[in-house]
Formats: sequence, C-alpha cells, structure tokens
Amino acid sequence: MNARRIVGFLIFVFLIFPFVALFLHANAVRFPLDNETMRVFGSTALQALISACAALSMGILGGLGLLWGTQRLRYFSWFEGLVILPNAAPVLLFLLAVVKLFPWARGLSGIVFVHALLNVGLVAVAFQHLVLQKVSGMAELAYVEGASGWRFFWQGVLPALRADLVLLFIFIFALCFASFAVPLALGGSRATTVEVLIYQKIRISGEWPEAIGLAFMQMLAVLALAWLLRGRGESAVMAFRKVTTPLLQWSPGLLIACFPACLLIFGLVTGIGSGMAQLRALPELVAEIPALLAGSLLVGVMAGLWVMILLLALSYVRPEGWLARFLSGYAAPSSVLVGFAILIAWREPGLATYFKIAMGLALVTLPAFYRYQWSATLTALKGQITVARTLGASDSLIFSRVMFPQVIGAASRIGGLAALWAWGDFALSSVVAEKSVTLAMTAQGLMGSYRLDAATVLIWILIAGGLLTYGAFLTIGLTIGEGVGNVLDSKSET
Amino acid sequence: MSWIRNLRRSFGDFAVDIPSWEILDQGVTALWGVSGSGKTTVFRILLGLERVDSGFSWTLSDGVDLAQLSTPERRLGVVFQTLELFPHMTAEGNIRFAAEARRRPHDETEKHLLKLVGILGLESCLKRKAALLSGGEKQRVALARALIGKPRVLLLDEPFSALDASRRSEARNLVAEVLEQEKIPVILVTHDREDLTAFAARSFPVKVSEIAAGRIIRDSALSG
Repeated sequence: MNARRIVGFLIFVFLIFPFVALFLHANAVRFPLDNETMRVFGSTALQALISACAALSMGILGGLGLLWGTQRLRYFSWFEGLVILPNAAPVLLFLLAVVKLFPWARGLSGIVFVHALLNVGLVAVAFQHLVLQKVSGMAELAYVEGASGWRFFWQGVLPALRADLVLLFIFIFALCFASFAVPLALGGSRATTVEVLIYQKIRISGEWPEAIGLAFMQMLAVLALAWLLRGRGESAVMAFRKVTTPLLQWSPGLLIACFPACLLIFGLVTGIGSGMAQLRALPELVAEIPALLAGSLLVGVMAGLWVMILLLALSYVRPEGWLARFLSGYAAPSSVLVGFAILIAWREPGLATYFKIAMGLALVTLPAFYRYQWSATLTALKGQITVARTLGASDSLIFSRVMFPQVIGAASRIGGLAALWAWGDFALSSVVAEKSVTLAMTAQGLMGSYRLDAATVLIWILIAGGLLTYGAFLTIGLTIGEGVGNVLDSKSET
Repeated sequence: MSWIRNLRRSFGDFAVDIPSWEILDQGVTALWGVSGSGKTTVFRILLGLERVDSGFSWTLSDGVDLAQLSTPERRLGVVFQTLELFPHMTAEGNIRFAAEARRRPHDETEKHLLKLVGILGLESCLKRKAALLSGGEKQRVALARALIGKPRVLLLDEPFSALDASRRSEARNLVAEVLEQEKIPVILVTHDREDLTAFAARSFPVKVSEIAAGRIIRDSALSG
C-alpha cells in the first residue's frame, strides 16, 4: 500500500468516525416508529418543503432582478456578494437579525421563515447564472421574434431550466431538512425537527439506541437526497454572456434579492447602543468576554487549519475510484451526531474542548467543501498531473511541485471560510461543550433570554474576529504560495 | 523495430482493436485519422492512462515490454494537445521538473538544457512564468520538457493544433529539426495531413498508419 492510499484511507476513517463511534457506543440500535417520531419527521419534511418552495419562487424573482442589474450596476460582482451574504455568513447573524426585527418568528413558522429568507439570495444568484449560461442566446432570439417576457419565461426559460431548478429545489430542501442551528435556536422546547429530536433524545432523556436509530433514518433520507443531486444539472452550457434583451429582466426583483441581506445588515446595526447598556448591567458577562474571545479565536483558527490540512491531504491523495465515489456521494452526519460521537470518543475537558469543536466542524463541513469546490480544483489540475506522472514524477514530487503551489491559495481561502463559520458556530459547540466557551454560544444564550441588543454587541465582536481570522488565512495562503513560487524559481535557476 | 500487439479496448458500441502495429525505432510513426477514429484512446493506452483488455504488449527492440510497466516506469515523453504546462513555474522550471522527475544527473541536464534552449530558441522566455508565454513559446517549452528526460519514445498528440495557422508551419519545422538531432522514436497522433507532409523531406523515416473506426486500415511510408 503506498502513502497516497494510506492517507486516503485515513481520511475515509476520519469522515466515518462519528458513525463508528456511535455504533460502538450503543449496545443496540432501535428505530423508533412511534407517533412522536412520525410527527417530527413529518414536520421536518413539511418545513423543508415550504421553505424550499418559498426560497425558490422568491429567488427566481430575485434572479430576474439580478439579470436587470447585470447591465446597469457598475460593481455588480460586489452586489452579487451582498445578495449571497446571508448564506455565506454564520447563520447566527441572520438568526439574530430576524429575531430582532420579527419577534414572532419562533417555532415551526419561524424556522420556515428563516430558512426561506436565508436561501433567497443563493437561489437568485444560481438562477441568474443558469440563465446567463444556458438560455441567454434563446432569450435574444425570442426578443427578436417578438415574444413577450412572460411568455418566454413560462414557455422558454422554465422548461429549459426545469432539470436545474428541480436540482436547486432538492438542494435547498436538503439544507433545510438537515438544518440544526435554526431549529435549535427557534424551535422552542418541543422538538420541531429530527435534528432537535436526536439532540433531546441524547441530551435530555439519554436514549442512545433510539437517537442512533433516528440518526440512521435521517441519514438515509439525506443520502437519498444526495443521490438525487448526483451528477445532475450538467446539461450543456451554451454560452456565458450578459442578457442584452429586456425579456428576462425585472427590476423589482432586485429588491427581493436584496431583502434578506438588507434585513441582516439592518438587524445587526440597530440596537448597539442599548446593547452596550445591557452589557454594562451584566458585569460577570463582560468580565468573561476576553476568555470567550480567546475561545472563539482558538476554535476558528483550529477549524480553519483542520479543513486546510484535510484539503491539502486530499490533493496529495488525488481521490479516484471508490474514494472519489465515496467523497462525492457522502453526506456529512448532522452536527448533533458529530458532536455526540466526539463526546463519546473523547471525554477530556478543558482546552481539548476547543480542539474537539474545531474537529467536529471540520467533519461537518469537509464533504460539502470537497463536493462543491475542492473536487473541481483537483479536476482542473488533472491534465498537469497526467503529464507529471508520464514524465516519471513521484507522488511526493507531484504534490510538492505541481499541486501544492497551485492549491495552497484555494485551501487557505476555504480554510478561512471554515474559520469564519467556526467563529459563528453555536450548534455543534453546544453539544460538545458543557458551558459557553465561545462568543457565539454566549450570544445565542443572550438571544434565548431576549437580550437581543446585548447579543448584537457580541456578534459584532465575533464578526470582527471572524473577518480578521479569514484575512489572516488568506494572507498566509498568499505568502506561502508566493514563497513556494520563489523557491521553485530559484531552484530552476541553479 | 518495436511492436505493439493486442491493443484492444471496447466501449460498448465502439472498440479499438489493433492486433499488431509496428513502431519505427528511429523517425516518426504517425497515427493519422479523422475525429472519432480512436486515435486519442490509442494514445492514452500507450501512455498507460487507459485500461486495456488483456494480452496487450509493447515490446521495444531491446526486449523491454512497456505494457508491463507503470506509466512513470515506461519513461515516455509526451506533448499533449493542451500542452499542460505548469502555469506557476517558469519555462525553465517546467523543463527542469521533467529532468528532476527522471532523476537525471545534474551535469547531463545542464548540457541537454543548453542544447534544447538553443535549438528551440527559448533563451528569451526561460525566466518567464509559463502562464505568460505565447502559444508558440508554450509549445516549444512543452517539447523541451518532454525531451529533457531522455525518453524511450516521444508521444505527440495533435501538437500543433493549438497554434494559429501562421505559426503552425514554423512549429512543424522546428519540431522536425529537434527530432533530427535528438534521434528519439516518435509516435505522432494527428488528424492533419499537413503535420505529416512537414516531416516528409527530413532525414528520418516517416511511417503513416491510418486509423478508422478503431482499426489500423493502412500503413504507408512517407517520403519527400
């Protein structure tokens, strides 16, 4: 067995570790098929269905707005970034903004409301890209032929993009179905989703066999969705050009696309003053802030490093065969499962807690990072790898000279993103840690006790810290990339 | 002479089936055919990048069967249609990479590099990053990279197709010149007749094997 295979196998073991740990811990697995379980599965599916439908319909309208903006807005790519902000930022930020501005958004309706709004920007940007890639030529032709916008939309765009839109729907449905942070924060005491039910089974009633059975049932559902997503939506790209006809442009859609991002920003900029006042009334909490800040920093940096190292290891492995199939089809276990698996395997408290949270976050995010970003990065280098292999280069030479200098930038960027999200995590952290050890956990606790403005202040500290960490990862990636480039250049001169 | 035997690979309704194919020890053996005739499959099988049905052998005149060796062990030089230079390295870095991969002695590499740089006219672009080279420069760097490892056989896959028409004939002449000096057997895969005629008037022999529907249907010697 060569080193590449061994590293690949170790990554495989790492990824399936939560299932193995839970399976070994539970003497028996029980599949609870009682009314309560069925109710929770039903409500999880229902909230995911309504959320996905709402996100898709609002997102498509938002996408039409973005198509209007592509030609009129000067810094459109920045604008696109703004639209996708609720999705890209840690979910805690959006949760806080929504709870502040819409106090009624609690329970199942609150979960649907947040899930739908959270994904509007993502759908809008995806729809805009689909139109530009696949039907822009058709749009010009329809315009020349004199078709009306609505007729072309119903008879041209929707049928042409049906497969892609179904795919997008399934993707959003899967996100909402497996979501843990939003139901945990908004769901109240009664379990509203499967994830929360698993959490309660373990945390409150200690029913491990049932929790694991539930987890397997949920995993099967998520795997089925992942299977539906596999290899679809790759219909031929016709051209990527800006739509020059007014057929697929609807300026009010821009407001829809921007609404969630505006809501997020508005929710976070209001109440800072009163938040400071609230905090002053909580001197014990203020005294804890430096420790919480250090905890968040530790978790962020370690989660980023975990993800970065694993991605680099994957570029050394260059997954193929069974491992490539596993990685592209594997749905990460839920945060709850990962959290409890880590707790079982490793009970050490203290500093190890931060390490465990970071490892858990890497476990949860790595499959998605691989599927949606890293596999494409590796595929882009396939030709170069083939040449290097043909020229006789060893695996270590291919990694150090061909892969590493080209992927380190992307790895550190993704690592930075993982770090940013880790700064905002409260869900997995609340499973692993006994008490609040990060700013995000404390902010969520403040939200739970309706001290929303005080939570806002903590969130701003968290945002600043997260962005600084993200920036540090980017800088480190660039510096290493340049450094390696210079070393290679000087090596080729000697 | 070296021989390729039982090169077979089936893809459902399409199959490549070459019972035996003679490769020149010196000069160019060209595999010529239209798109979809199976050229690229043959090329990838020869490189060891594609699975092949059992019984395949590629025996060189010294008795070595390349089919029994892994891709790196075959010691082949390759220029792909897409060239696949390493964009983050300089032109020189790209060439030296191949020498390092083959663990060639430093002194030999220096001499060979100097020679290749001279023949291919690479002096002015040696220190430039590959991503910043022109199409013609990239092509010459790819050729130097393929040659510096002293390959047993050089494989060229449509090596001129990425160049514009005006540069193509210049590049063909340059490659022919290099091949005259390097004396390495070459397998050239192409759909372009002009790639073949450019080699006709040279001092090395040229053999054209025409492939259609996965089978070699004609072998002919080409002369100026």
